[in-house]
Parts: sequence; structure tokens; C-alpha cells
Amino acid sequence: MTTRRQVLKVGLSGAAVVAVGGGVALLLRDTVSRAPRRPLRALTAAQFSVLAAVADRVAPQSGAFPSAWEVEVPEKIDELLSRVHPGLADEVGQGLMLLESAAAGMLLEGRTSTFTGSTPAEQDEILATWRASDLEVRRKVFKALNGLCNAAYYASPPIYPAVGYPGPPPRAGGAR
Amino acid sequence: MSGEIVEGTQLTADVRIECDVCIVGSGAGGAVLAAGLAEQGLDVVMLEEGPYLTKDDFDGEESTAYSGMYQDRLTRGTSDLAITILQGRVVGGGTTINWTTSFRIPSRVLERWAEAHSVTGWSVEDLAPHFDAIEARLNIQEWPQERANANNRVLADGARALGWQSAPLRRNVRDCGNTGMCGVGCPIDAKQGMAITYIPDAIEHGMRLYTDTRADRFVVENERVTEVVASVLDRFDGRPTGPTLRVRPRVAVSSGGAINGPALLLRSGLDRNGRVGKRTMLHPVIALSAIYPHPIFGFTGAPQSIGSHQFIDRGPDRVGFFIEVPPLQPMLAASGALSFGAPQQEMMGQLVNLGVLLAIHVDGWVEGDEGGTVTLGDDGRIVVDYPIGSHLEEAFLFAHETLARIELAAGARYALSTHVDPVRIEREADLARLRDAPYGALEHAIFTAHQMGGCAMGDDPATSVVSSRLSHHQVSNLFVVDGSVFPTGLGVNPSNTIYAMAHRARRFVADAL
Repeated sequence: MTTRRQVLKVGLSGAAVVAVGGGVALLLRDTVSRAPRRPLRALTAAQFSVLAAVADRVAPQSGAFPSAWEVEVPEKIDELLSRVHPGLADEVGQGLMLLESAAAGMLLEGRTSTFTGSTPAEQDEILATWRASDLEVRRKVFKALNGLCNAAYYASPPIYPAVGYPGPPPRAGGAR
Repeated sequence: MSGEIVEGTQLTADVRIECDVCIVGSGAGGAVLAAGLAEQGLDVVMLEEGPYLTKDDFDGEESTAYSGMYQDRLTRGTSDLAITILQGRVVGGGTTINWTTSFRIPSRVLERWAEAHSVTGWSVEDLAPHFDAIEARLNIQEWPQERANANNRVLADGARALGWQSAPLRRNVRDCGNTGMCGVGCPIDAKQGMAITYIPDAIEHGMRLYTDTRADRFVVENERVTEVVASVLDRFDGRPTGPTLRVRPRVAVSSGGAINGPALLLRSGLDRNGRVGKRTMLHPVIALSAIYPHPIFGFTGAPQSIGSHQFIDRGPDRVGFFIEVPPLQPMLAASGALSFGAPQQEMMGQLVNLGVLLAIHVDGWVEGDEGGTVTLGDDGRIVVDYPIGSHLEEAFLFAHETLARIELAAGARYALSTHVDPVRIEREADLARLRDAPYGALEHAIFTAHQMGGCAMGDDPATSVVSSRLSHHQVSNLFVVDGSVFPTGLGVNPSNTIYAMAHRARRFVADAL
């Protein structure tokens, strides 16, 4: 866990707080920024930052497992979303900001901080609450984000050693 | 006369083509039909929205395969996100990425279709010569049980211990290397999918195949399809690049499968009786994981080689299911759970010892079970809705109990459900906990790998879309040849039945010319 916390600290100390104005400020404030390592194709900078925070709870650094951030899960999902119908990318983006929203969180569960502004333990709690929520939209957002993060993470070759997967057989591909 | 594969991505200007038959879709239905028609000397044009890929393109990585060869890059699901839809989008369609299990349609299914769905002229005897021809061409044979991987042996051993039926499966492979890569593209062309069998057969006899080309609509004049309008898609992002194809065929065939096919008919204004995209059957699948004290290596070896039909018929008021297993490459193994973080990593850390059983539910049989629907969203997206009723929920519970019993009987240390709050079963007494867990949408993982229905066949034009000879009831030169014509769920893996039906439909289509 130490390494994971260090990673998070780096993220926090290097963070630029996204400044948003007008009524949006009520819904979205203090998104803790994570800088993508490639130009974004589908998500906004704020959406990407929330996704990065979610991904690191879905797959934190632990033992032999690298963190989702280390294997570029957020960037991989952003690329995937640029390759599907734009409507899906919009919905995922909206879901991310719904999760992030402190105003909506306060309304429904008394939470006053954004998702990215919450501690890892709080983030886990929020995700677990959404997973079992009576509101279908929350269950859907959880399932979509958890599914995207799990898929991108467990399909990443750097995690293969942690799960004991030897990778595809050597004859696969590469025949050219 | 040899045909050709034209990659749509090479086209820079609009194309106009005339031909005898234009087939939309290159999967189990379209490919078998195309080869037969081309061999008869007919001029066939095939449109496929996915890319043409060969074994050299298959790197075995799930990330490459799912984003490159699956519908919506494996983000396809029902609108409530409850059911994840695994479906091919590549030359060869589902046959390029399926797990090779090959059944003949059971006689009881054909009897049901005749009795309850006005289907005529489809008997076991009618189909037998077509199955014979297909099974010879695709080398469909029983997989030797001694070559079954441990994930499949669990099913055989557990069922035997419980006194339940199980049997080796038949597979469409030739010189299979047991790589376990069926779902991500066979790296050694052992799987006898359409892209290396009937598609080349058709091309050898003159067929022109346009890849990366999506059929947008059939143009209908005076109740005849006069033109198929298609867009070239960018291979990376799937969006239209500009050029269009306009194919003017004498006969048009929809073979795009049970989701994209009905959507194409809907976009074409061809839903004359409100039955297009209705009774969409998904064979809803639940999965139960188990950790064994010994290695399972579920990521290698033929993914499916043992099946059990012990609970296929649970009486007229209950949904039956059959049992098979999935391949367990990491991403597919991880996709089952609704867990995250440490519990998920703990489970995945035991991937080597992980086994998974699937219960595949046969929909459309119980009174009132209308399956799901396919409609068009305002933004043009295809919308799949699938209400999970009380009958299916009852079956999901029974299936969880059944799979857990098999896993325990096969020596599992414990079974673990995919529930929001996973149920852990270490011994018989723990099975009761499954009865306290919830079943249905978003309560646990649900998948579909078999999409059927939506353009049902039948002689009653009020309840079906195409006739028992697979021609559209109103538009006489339009045929539907794929799993969408099934009036119910099939109760077995559908590919072999689609092949055989398409083999027989060669005659129906040729007669219309």
C-alpha cells in the first residue's frame, strides 16, 4: 500500500485544481487533476481525472499487482471510447461527472467532497454504495466504469505475472 | 472466375455495383449461403462491416481481439447494462471468435417451432443432408475426452459424481493445437471458421467481398429491394469515411445476425407488422467461479469440450439451461465479477486455480417469455432491451445451486458467485446462502454469446417476419439467413444449425432468381 499512497501523493501534489465557473461549480468542484500521458481522444480532462481515480480503486497497486495508473488504464479506456459510438463516450463521461459531483453526493448520501477529493477508503465506500444502490443509474455507472477498468487492466500484459498467466502461446501471431 | 476481397478502407470514391445476390454479413449464415450460390455461377457481392483478418493478425492478446473483432469493441450490452453481449464483428462473424462447439438443432426444438410458431418444412430429416455436408467441410467431430482441459474435466467429474448427464462436445477444428485461443482468433487456422472455409470457397467462385463496409439500408420500391446502400467505415474508429457503395442486386440477403440484422430492416422501413426486432433471444448466461486446490489453467486447451444438458428441460413452467465452460484468459475471467479492488485482485491472483462453469438459459419457451427487443435509438445506435422476468430469476438461482454442486463435487475449495455481495460456498450447507441472494438485472453478472430471433420465420405473416423458406413476407426478393430467424432460443450453441439452415437456404434463394 505504501507505493500506492506515494503514487497518489505525487498525483495530489502535482495536481492542478480544475477551475470551473457558474452553476457548474456547484456540481463540480475541486476535481483533483491527473495529467494524461497521451493526448485525450474522447474524454475531457476532468472526466479523465475522475476515471483515473476510479481505475486506481478498481485496481490499486498491491503486492505483485501494479496500479491501474501504472499500466495506463485511463488512457486505454479513453482510446477505446474514441473507437465506439460517440454517444457511449458521452454517457461514460456523464457518469464519471455524476460520480464526481459533490452536490449530488451531498444530496443523496451526505457526502461533501468530490470523488477525486475523497480518500481512497472513502472512494471505495462510494463505489460500493453505487454498486448496490437502489438507483439504477448508479448501478449502471458503477457497472460501466468497473467493467471498463477491469477489462483494460486485466488485458494489460504487465499484470500477467501477478495472475500467473503466461501470455498467449508463442505461435500466436508474429508469423509475419 | 475468381473473386476478390476489397478492403473498404482502400476505397476513395463511391462505388456502384450490380450483381445477382447481395449478402449483408459474412458469418455463419452469409458465408455458407454465399459459397453455394457462387458455386452455382451466381454473381455474389458480400458486405461485412468488420475487417478481414488472418491468423497472422491474431496476436492472442485479449485487448487486440475484443477491440478489433467484437461488436462495439465488446462494450455492447443491453440498455440497462445487465447483460454483456459477446458478438463477432469481423469477416467470418461469430465463427472467427466463437469457441467451436457444434451441435445439431434438437428435434424437440423443431417440433416446438412447428407446433407453436407456424414453422413448416423443417424436420430433422429435412436438415440431415445439410448437416452432413457442413460437418464434412468443417471437420466437425467429437473432441477426445482425454484432451479436455481441467476446466472442462471439472464439469465431467462433477456431473459424474452427482449422477448427472454430461458428454463430450463436437468441434469444428482440424489439427487443433489446443492453444485455447478460440475466442481471440485461432493463431494456427485450426478452427474451421467461415473466413478460412466457405468465404474462400465463395471467392474462388467469383464472390466479391467488401470489408469495413456497413449496410445502412435496403432501398425498397414496389415491394422489392432495388438497392443496398452501404458506408465505408474507418477501421480504427468505425466511423464513415465518406465513400458509399450502392449495390443493385436481384436478390438481397440479410445475414448480419440477430441484433444488426433486425436493425438494418428497421432502418429500411421493413417492419410491416411490428415483429422486426421482437422476440430477441439471448440464451442468458450466468457464471460461477470456483477455486481448486490444484491448477486448472483455464486459459489453455480447447475452451469447450464437455457439456451437460441435465437441466435442459425443467418442465413447461420453468426455464431450462445447459452447462458449458468458458476460456479463462485474464480479461474474460475478470469480466464476470462485480467486485473491485482487493477482493477482485485476490480472486484474479488465483487465476491458475480458477475454474468457471456457465449455465446457458433457453429463452422463449415458457408461456409469456417474449425474450428481448432490438430497436433504434434517436442517435442511430442499436438498443437491445431484455427484461429479466421472474421465470428467469428462478432459473438463475437454481443454476447457481447446480453449478455450485458440480464444483464442490469436483473438489473445489470454494465457489464464489458474481453477486454484488459475492456468495462463498465451501460446503453443501453453504448452498442455502445462495437462496438469500438476489437474482436478476445488475445483481450479478449476465452474459450472452448466442444472439437469436428478431426476424422470426413462420408461415403466419402476423407473427413472423420471414416465411419458412426465409423470404420476407412482403418483400419477395429479400431473404433473412442467420440466427435471427429462430422463433425461440435454440437450447444448444447455434452456429452449426445456422450453417445447415444456410446450406438449405441456397436452394430457396436460387429459386427466387
